[in-house]
Amino acid sequence: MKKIPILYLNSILIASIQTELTDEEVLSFQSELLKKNNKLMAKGVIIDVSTLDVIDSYMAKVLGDLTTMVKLQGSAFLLCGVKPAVSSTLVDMGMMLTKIDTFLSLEKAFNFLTSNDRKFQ
Amino acid sequence: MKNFEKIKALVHKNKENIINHWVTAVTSNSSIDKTREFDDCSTILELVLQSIEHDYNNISASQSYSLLEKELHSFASFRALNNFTPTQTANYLLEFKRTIYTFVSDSAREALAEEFIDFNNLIDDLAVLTFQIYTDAREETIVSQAYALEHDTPIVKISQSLLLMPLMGIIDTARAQKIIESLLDAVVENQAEIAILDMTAVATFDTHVANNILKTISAAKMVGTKVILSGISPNAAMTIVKLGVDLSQVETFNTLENAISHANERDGLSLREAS
Amino acid sequence: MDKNYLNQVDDIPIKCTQDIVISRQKGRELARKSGFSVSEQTRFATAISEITRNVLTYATEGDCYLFEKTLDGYHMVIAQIVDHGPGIDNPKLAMNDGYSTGNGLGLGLPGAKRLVHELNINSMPGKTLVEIIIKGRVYR
Repeated sequence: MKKIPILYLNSILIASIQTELTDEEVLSFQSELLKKNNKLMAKGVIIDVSTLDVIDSYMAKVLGDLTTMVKLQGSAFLLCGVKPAVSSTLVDMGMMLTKIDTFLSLEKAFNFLTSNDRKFQ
Repeated sequence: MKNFEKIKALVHKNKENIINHWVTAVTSNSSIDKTREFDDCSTILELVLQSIEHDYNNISASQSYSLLEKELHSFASFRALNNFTPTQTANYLLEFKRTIYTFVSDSAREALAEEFIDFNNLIDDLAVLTFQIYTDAREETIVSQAYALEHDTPIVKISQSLLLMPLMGIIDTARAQKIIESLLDAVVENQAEIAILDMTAVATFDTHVANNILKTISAAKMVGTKVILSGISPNAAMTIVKLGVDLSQVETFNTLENAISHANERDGLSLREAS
Repeated sequence: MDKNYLNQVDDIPIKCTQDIVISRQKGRELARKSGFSVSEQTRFATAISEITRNVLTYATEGDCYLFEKTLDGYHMVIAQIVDHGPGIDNPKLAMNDGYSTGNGLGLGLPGAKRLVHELNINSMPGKTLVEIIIKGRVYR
């Protein structure tokens, strides 16, 4: 089973999903991320999907759930690097990831978290 | 030796009258500009006269005939591009034939009969050619319009993080798809945090347009770009409310100018925050 | 669905979630080779993903066949997803947004339909076939 590395930097958890995951791998990634966040109490979690070619309704649902779960843990949840074709496909399917804060790049997401310290104290 | 001696003489003698008669016939029930018709008809007549120096079997190889073909080419494509109807265009050479018949006196009819068979064939050839050119030009127009339709979504980069997309004309489903795709590609490529959709030149605003704009906004949000709207006309505003489309989550501005200055302010703010 | 006119490119057995990934990757690759745009490739792959997942949810296993064909100036890429499960009771109802007998969001079939040019369902107990097609004009 493939494992997604989860990095910790400036009290931010960063994970980049670079290969297409099976449903089981997605779920194990989800639980690992939540466990790690529980231990480290990050002020934010950033998921980078800039190399993902397909986000189907299942993956979208997992990402939506993850947002809610991470927010329940008291951390911010940021998504970055959604490809244009992926985004318009999701919209056409009727999956609007509107409750997720999204950014154009990892850098922009990271800057957002580190420059708005007061917001997350 | 069959040639067009008698017809040539006849046309030469009545040249002025033939042209007048011909132009009147082709412009009788339309608002076509007469001076242009007059020029075109005279040129064609001259070239036909030069061409019939040769007999029918050798005519297509002659230099004057190729000049005539060239003239008909610009003649027919001009008419295709300027919305002349197929009937109008086809009529020119047919009317030419009819006009010449009217100048043949009853007594001369028999003597001319043999020449007229070939002449008839020649003009029919020319009429078919004209119509072919007309159709080709029409088709070309359609293809180039389809091409323009696919490519007429210009995107203007206003600053490092701001893109402008002026929407124009009628937005149907096929174009809306194209608009969403090119906007998303552009914001990701330029890493633009804000995109303005300017609606000033949108021809009609209905549920489809509104939904497509909402789709664009959601799709842009998912890649991390905020879309703001500008230039919603009074008509569009009324339609939006009447249709019950909810644009309350979308920032809108009356003019493009206000949208740009708002975007720049926001941009400045985020830059200061970042530093 | 006359198979004589189809050129079968691939047959992917669907037994576990890994096969969903393989199916959509192969579907995407076929669409790419056939000259469809990135956006169309993504839509096709996503639609395959939705429908093959239905196979695992409702029928435990099945097959995903990929075809291509050219007809009347159109080039088409086709995925036929077949399973031998209980079938879809009411295909019309299943095409409605939010309708689900599983645990999903009910966006699978209707969502997939919006992504492709054609989606056909032929379902009876013991055999369900869902066919999705994307097509593009062939120039020259």
